[in-house]
Amino acid sequence: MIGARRRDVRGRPALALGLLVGVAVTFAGCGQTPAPVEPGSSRGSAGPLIVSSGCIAEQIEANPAALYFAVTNRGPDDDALVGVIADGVDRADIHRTVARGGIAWMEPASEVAIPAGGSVRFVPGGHHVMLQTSSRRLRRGATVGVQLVFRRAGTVPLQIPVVAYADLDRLLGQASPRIGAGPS
Amino acid sequence: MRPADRVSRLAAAALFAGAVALAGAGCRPAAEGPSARELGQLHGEVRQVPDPVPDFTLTDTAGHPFRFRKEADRSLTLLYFGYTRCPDICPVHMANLAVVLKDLPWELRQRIKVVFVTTDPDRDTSAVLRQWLDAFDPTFVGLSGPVAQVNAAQALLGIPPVVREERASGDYVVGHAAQVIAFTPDGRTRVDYPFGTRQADWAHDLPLLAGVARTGP
Repeated sequence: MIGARRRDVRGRPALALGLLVGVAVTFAGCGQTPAPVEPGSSRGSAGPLIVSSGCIAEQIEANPAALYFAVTNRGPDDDALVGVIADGVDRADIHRTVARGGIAWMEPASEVAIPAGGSVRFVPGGHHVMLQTSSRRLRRGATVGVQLVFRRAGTVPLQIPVVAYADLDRLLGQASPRIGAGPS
Repeated sequence: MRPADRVSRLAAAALFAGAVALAGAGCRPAAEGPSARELGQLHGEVRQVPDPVPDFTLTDTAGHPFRFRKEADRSLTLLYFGYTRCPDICPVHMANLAVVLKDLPWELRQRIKVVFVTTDPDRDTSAVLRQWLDAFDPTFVGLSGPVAQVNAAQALLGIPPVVREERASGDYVVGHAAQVIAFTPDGRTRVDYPFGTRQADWAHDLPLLAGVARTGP
């Protein structure tokens, strides 16, 4: 597992940084809060899986964008996210940010477990899908067609709004872990 | 000039400078740091030992040497080590700071500097760094230098060196510290702000750190 230092300060819920197993979350992010940045619904489902709260943090210049969402598994079987396809995007890689020895890393994750009866939330500082394009295409205000591919449940198609990085605080900040601290 | 003359002139100059500083800020020196009570109110993680601002020099995006201790003098300086191809940590910190700074009163905003040191000098040329920072706030300072110099600066702050990890794809990722470090106007290394610091935390802490709550505009 990982050596992330987790803190629960000022009532902020502590979130496991690894396989966010069994963490009950309240979906108050981009999927359900009516917000001016949201051009359409980012809710979708396949079998017992419900995906919500989807948003993409825009590209800065031609740098990668980051996709976040939440998945709830209402079924009796474990599932796993195994791939992501996004319209107009050259590469979509599942990553997680981990902390090791006071250093934050981006690690590739070949799949992310979605346990039976559980919820997993992709948030800054936890899991994200890195979206790469050769030019700056993913700008705030746009909507991107995304397909999340799960091992058992199949594909969930979504329309996901692109937002500014500053909007993530309002949309997902409550669920983000704290990483890094004073001198080691 | 005889050494004794030189010493007395320096002493006089120092006294004069001190008097000017006192006069300029009413009854309190302008470069005073936060009080113990204010430190106790901060949302960031206050350092047990408030070391002096470290003395290191890197190169800014205009190609000029930037001596950190000198530039941080008498301002509230926020320092971060990161890289522009980072999609998850670095842009979140910079965007949160930019949006909070935009809402501060002008006088307070003038007292605050944000300095971003690249941990990926191979890809982050001065032009790349400048464009990326401009997307958040054109006043943000971008610094670059050989990784060994960046690591030396980080060592002075007690944070671990940059780690570069090659990936099978031919790409590489850069591991780096995730906190913003705040240096107060009294020349001290005061507070660490981990990743996960919210905009509300910044809005709460920046006036306290800048000493504005006490000395007034």
